[in-house]
Amino acid sequence: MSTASKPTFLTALSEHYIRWKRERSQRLQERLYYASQRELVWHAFKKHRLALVALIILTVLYTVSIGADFFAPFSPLNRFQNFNDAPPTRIHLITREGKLSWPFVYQTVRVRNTETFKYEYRENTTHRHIIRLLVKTEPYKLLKVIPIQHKFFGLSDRHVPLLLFGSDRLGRDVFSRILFAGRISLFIGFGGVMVTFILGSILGGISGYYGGLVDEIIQRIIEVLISVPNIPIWIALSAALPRDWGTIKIYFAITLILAVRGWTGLARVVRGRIISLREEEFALAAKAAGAGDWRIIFTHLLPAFISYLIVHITLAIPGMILGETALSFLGLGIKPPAVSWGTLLQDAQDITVLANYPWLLIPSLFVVLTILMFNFVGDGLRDAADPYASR
Amino acid sequence: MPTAIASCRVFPSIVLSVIAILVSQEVAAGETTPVVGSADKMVSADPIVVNQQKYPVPTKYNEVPLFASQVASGQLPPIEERLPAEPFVVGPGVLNSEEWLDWEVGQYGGTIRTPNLNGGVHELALAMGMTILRAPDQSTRDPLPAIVSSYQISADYSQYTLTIRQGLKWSDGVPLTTEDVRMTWELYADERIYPSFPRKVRTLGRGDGIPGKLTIIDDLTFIITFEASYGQFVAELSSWIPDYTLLFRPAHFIKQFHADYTEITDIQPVLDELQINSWEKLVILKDMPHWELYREHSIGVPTLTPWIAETVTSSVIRMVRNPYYWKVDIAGNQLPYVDRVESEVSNHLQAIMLKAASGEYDVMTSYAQVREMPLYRLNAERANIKTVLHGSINNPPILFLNHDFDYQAAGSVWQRLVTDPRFGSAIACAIDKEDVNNTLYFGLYTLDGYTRENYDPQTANTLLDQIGMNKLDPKGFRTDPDGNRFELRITTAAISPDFLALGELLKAYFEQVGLRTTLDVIGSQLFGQRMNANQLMATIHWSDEPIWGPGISEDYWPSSKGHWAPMSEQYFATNGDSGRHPPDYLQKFFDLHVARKVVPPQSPEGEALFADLVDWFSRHYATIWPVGRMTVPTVYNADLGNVIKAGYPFDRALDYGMEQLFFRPSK
Amino acid sequence: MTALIIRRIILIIPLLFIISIISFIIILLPPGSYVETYVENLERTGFLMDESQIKAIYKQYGLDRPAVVQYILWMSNFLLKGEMGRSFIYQKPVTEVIMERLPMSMAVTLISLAVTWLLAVPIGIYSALRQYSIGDYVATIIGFVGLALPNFLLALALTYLVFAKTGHAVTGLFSIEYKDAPWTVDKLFDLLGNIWLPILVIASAGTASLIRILRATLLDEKNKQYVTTARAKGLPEHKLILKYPVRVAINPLISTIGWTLPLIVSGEIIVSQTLGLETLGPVLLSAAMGEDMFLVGSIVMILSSLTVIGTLISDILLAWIDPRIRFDKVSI
Repeated sequence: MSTASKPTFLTALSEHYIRWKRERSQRLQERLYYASQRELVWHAFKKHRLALVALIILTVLYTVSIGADFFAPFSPLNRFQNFNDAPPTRIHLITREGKLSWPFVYQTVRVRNTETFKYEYRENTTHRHIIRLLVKTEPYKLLKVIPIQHKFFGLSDRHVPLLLFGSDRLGRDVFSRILFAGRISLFIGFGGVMVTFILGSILGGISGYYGGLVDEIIQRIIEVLISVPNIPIWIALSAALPRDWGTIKIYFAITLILAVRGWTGLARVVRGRIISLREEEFALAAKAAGAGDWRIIFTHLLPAFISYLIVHITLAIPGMILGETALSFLGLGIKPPAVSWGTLLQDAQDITVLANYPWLLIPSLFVVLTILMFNFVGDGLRDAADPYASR
Repeated sequence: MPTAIASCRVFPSIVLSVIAILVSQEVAAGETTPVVGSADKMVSADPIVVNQQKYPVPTKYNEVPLFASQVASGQLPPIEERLPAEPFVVGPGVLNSEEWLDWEVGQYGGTIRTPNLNGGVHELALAMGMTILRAPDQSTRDPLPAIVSSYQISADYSQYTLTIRQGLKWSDGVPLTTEDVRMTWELYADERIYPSFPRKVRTLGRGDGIPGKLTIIDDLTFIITFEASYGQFVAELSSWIPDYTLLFRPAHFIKQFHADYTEITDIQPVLDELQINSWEKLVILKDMPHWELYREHSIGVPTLTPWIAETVTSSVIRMVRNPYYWKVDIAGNQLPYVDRVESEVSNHLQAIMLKAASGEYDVMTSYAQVREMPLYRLNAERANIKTVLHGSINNPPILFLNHDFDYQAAGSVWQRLVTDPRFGSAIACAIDKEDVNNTLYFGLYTLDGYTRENYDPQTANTLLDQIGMNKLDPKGFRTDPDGNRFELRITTAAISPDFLALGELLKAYFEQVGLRTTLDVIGSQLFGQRMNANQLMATIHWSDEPIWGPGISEDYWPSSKGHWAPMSEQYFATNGDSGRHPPDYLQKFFDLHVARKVVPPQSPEGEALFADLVDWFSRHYATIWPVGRMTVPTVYNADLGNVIKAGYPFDRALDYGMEQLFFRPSK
Repeated sequence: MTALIIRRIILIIPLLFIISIISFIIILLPPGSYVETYVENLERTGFLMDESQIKAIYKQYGLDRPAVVQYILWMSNFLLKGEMGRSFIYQKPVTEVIMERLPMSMAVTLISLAVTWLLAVPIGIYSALRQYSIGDYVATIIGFVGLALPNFLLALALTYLVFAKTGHAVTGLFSIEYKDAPWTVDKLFDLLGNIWLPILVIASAGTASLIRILRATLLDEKNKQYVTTARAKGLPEHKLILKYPVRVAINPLISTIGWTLPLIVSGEIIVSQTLGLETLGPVLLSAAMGEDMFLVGSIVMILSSLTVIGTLISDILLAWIDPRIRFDKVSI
C-alpha cells in the first residue's frame, strides 16, 4: 500500500480479499504436497468444469430414478382412459384474465378427426389446476421402507392428466415411466461392468504377468470371443433364456450377455500395461522381497494404473446402456410390462409414432444425456488421473 | 346363477337331435372313438349337380397386347387356342357379390407393386391361389365350378364327381387331364414323398380317416369316393388354403424328376445343380403346394395361376401373366388385366408402411393396421393412394383359457374354476370392451363377438364372491375357493404389437376385480412349445373366426392358435392312445366338430351346427373376446379399378381378387 | 517378426474350427427350429398345415437328424466342395444368397468408411491444433452427440423427416424397378438418390468417435518433447504436424482398420435393418430370428474369420508402422 493515497474502505476490503486468496492458495499448495492420490485426482477433477457439471447431472438422474416413487407424479401403470397417445400437457403461467399465476394446466377434451384420423384437443378453460410442490397423496412407502404421504409435484386432483411428456399407447404418463425406467437402464450397466472389471483384470493380469502358454491361450480365447458377431450371440442367448424367470433374473442375465464380450477389451489393455510394468523396478523389488505372484499382480501392479481402470469402467457403462437399448429395440431384452428406456423406445420405432406422437421419443434424449454425461465424467477423470499432465 | 349368465340360445334343430341320437347310440355300443358319420343314416337330400356358370361364354376374345408379337411370330398360339373351350367367365357378382363391388370391365396393362415381409406367405400366395370351385367373397356357399366345368355331389356327401374344363392348360401349354390327379394321388400315397396322406382328402378330414378313393373315368372326369359322408370337402375345394394343388399337380413336369419315370442319369444334372442329394428330395421340392409358387425354385413349375414367377431374388419377386390362364371377363378379355406383379421383399415392417404411405406400392393389404391410418391419410394426395376400411379374416387377439391345464392334479383349483361358467363369465364381465376398442383400435373395431357379456365389474365381483373367492390375501387380492393364493397367469408372445398392449390392459381389468394377474411375454417358439406341452393357463392369440363359418379355417381347434385344450385334442387325434379323456362338456365340442364335417359348412344343416358351436364357445368360455371384429385398411393406388367397397366383411380381397384389378388411365 | 506372423497364421486354422463349432451352437441354442417359424408364418395367414406336411418339411430340410450329424455334413460339404448348405428361408444355396447381397454391403461400408475418414481426419487435426476455438467446441459437441445417439433412432428420424418434407420414402438402396436390373446410368442415379441417407447415418457415429480419438491422441502428442525440439529446430509447422504427431495419432486408426473387414461384409446391421437396405445385415438378422441354420452359420463363420484375419492384418500393420513394437518394447 502506498502511503500517499488515503486508504478507503473499499481498497482495504479488496486488499483483505487478495491476501485471503493468496493464503488460501498457499494452504492448498501445502495440502497438495501431503495429499493422497484420491484427493489429488478429485482436486484436478473439480477444475474440469464440464466433468463437474456432468457429475452433478448424473447424480440428479440417479437420485430421481431411485426415488421415482416420490419424484414421479404417477405410477408407471396408471392409465388415463381415453387419453392415449396424448401430447404433453400445456403448462400456462398467465390466466385467462391476463394475470400471472403459479404454473397451471387445463383439462383437455379430445375428438378424433375422421378424415385425417388424428386427435384434436380442446382445452377446458373453466378451471385451473395448479401444479403444486409436495402435493399430498395416499400414503405409500418410499423404497418400500419410508412411509410418506407426499409426492414431489402434481395436481391436487389426481384424475386430471398432468402429462409433462405426453402419454403412450395405453394412456400412461411418459414422464413417470421414464423416471421408473431409469431404475433399470441406469443400473443395468453396473452389473455388467462389475463382471467386466473382475474378469478383465484377473484374466488380463494373469495373461500379462505369466506370458507364455497361458498368455497364448487367453489371447486366443479373447480372439474367438471378439470374432463372433454381436447380434447372433444376442439373439441366441436371449432366446435361450428360460422365460419363467422374473424380471430381475432376466435383467441380470442380460447384463451378463452384454458383459460376455465386454471384458475382452479391458483384458487386452490390462495385459499391455502389466507387460510394460512388470519389468519396472518396484515390481522387481517386490519379487525380490519374496512376494507371491498374485500379491504382486493385485497389490502392486494393478493399483499402478487403477485410475486408468476406473476411467475405462466409467466409459464402459454407457456402452452397456446403449447395448440394453439396442437389445430392447430389437425385442430381445427386457420385455413389458417391465420398463426400461429401451422398452419405452420400442413403442417409438413406429413411423406413425414419429409422425404423430413424437414425444414418445423423449426416452432417447435421456439415453443420450446419460451417455454424454458419463463420457464427460470419464474424460474428466482421465485428465485428472493422468500423472503426466501439467497442473 | 342362470340370471347372471347370458342366456343361451335354444335350437330345436331336428338334424341336431338326429345326430345326438346317433352319437349316444354309438357311445352306448361301447365305442371310444367319436362317431364317424355313417353315410347310410344321413338325412337324404337330392344330389347336387352344378354345371352352369353365371355368365355365357363370350363369342369373341380380345388378344392380350403383351403377347401380340409372340402370337404373330408363332411362339404362342392365338388366344382362342390358349383358352379352354368354355373359360370361366368373370363379371359382376362372380368373384365378389354385387353388394360389395361395382364390377367393371377393365383394361389390359400395367404393373402392380406390392410388399412382402421377409419373403413370407402373404399377398402373393393369395394372388397366386386358384381354387377348384369358386364362391364369391371368400365364402364357400354354393360355389361355381372354376377349374372344373361341372361337379356333382352325391346325396350323402360321400361321392364327388368332377369334370375338368376341356382345353384348360397348365401355364406351359400342356393340357390339364386326369393323369395329373392320378399322379397327385400316387404322390400322396408314396411314403418316400409324403409321410402320410394329407388330412383334407381323408374321410371327415381326420388324420386317421381313410383317404378318398380315386376313380378315373376318362381324360377329364374323375370321381373321389369317401368311406362316409364328408360334406366339408366342398369347402376344401372352394378354399384358398388347400387350393388347386390339393388335387392337381403337374404330372408331366414332376415325372422328369421322379426315378420311377425317368432314368436317374437324366435326373443327376439337376441334382448337382441344385446341390440336392436324392431324387426324392428333388420331387418334394418341385411338387409344391401353391403357397410356394412364388419362390425361386418355382420358376419353371407349371401352374394354373394368373401370374407365373419370372425372376426371384432375395430382394424382389417378379411375376408375369400366364398366357394360358383360363378365366375371361364378360367382354372377352383374358384375365388378369394387369400384366405384371412385382413384390418387394423387405425385412422391416416400418419401411413397408413408409413406402406404402409414399405411394410406392399399388396394393397393400396384409400389413396395414388402423393405428397407422394417420400416416396413410397424411400423404394420400401427393402419393396418389386411397385407403378403404373393411373387415378381416383374422380376429383381434383373444384370451384363451386352457381347459386342460392342471387336469392331472387331484382337486385342481384351476379345473374347478374353469369348468364353472360363473368364473368365465366374471372374467368376461371384467373386460371393458369399449376401452380396449378406443385405446388400441381408434374405436373402429366392433363390439360383437362370441363373448356376450359387456363391461360389468359389479357382476364380475358378485360372481367371484359367489364362487367362493370372496376372501382377500395379505396383498389385497382374492384367494381361491380354498383360501390359498390365486394367480391368473396369462402368457403370450409378441406376435403382433397389440398382443402386449392388450395383455397389459387385461391385467389391469382383472386386478380391478381383485384377481392377481401376471403377464408373461416369451419368444414365439417357446410359446408354441409351452402351449403344446399344456403348460400354460391362459394365453393371448389370434384366431380366424370370420372364416370358421365357411369352413375355410378351423383354428377354433383346441391346439391351433391359443391352445385351450391340447391334451383333449391329443386324445381325439390319437383315438385314445394318449392325452386326456375329455370330460363330457369338452367331448360335446368334438362331437359338434365332427358333425360339422359331415355336411357342407354353408348348407342349412351346416349353419345350424355352426350356430351350436358358437353357442358352445359362448357358454363354456374357452375363448373370451375383448373386442368384436377387426377393421383393417387396405392401401391402394387411387387409379386401380374393381376395388371392393368399405365395410367388406373380410380382408385381402385385393389379393384374392387381384386378377380383376386394373389401372384406369390417369387423367 | 516374420516368425511371429507365420505362427499367428498357422494358429488361425484351429481357431476357425472352434469358431465354426461355436457358430453352430449359437444357432441351435434357441429352442425350436426353422420348421416352427415356417409353420407359424403360414398359420398367420390362415394356411393351416397338416401334420403330415409338417413332417414332410422336417424331412425336406433335413432337420430330422441330430445336430452333430448336420454339423459334420455342413463342414464336410464346405471343405470338400466349397458349398455352405442351403438356406431354408430363401430355398437356394447359401453362397448365392450371400453373393447377391455382398456387393452392396461392401459398397455401403467402403463409402461410409471413406466419408468417415475424409471428414474425421481434417476435423480432428484442426480441432486438436486450434484447441478451445469455436471450431473445436463445435467439433467436440458433434463428436459427443454422434457417439451418444443410437444409430437406429437417427436413421428412423431422418427417414421420417425426408418423408414429411418430400413425400418420398428413402428406404432401401434401390427402387423396385431397379432392384435386380442390370446396371445402367439410371440405376446409378437411383442408387445415389437413396444411398446418401444410410451413409450419413453410418458415417456419423464413426466420424464422431474418430474425431475424438484423433483429437485426444494429437493433444497428447503435440505437447511432447520431440515436437518442441523440432519446432525449435525450425521445422515448418505443417510439416511438423504431418510428419510426426499425426503418424502416431494414426496408430489407433490402423489398429481398428482390421476390424472393418467384417464390417465390410455385414454392414451396420441394425441401421440396415431399420432402413431396409439390400445388404447382408438384414439377412443375418432375419436368418437368426428364423433359425435358418446354414445361412446364419455360414455368415457367422465368414464374419468371424474376417475378424480374425482383420486382427492379424491390424497387428502386422501396426508393427510395421510403429517401430516400438518392432523392437519388441511393446508386444502385439
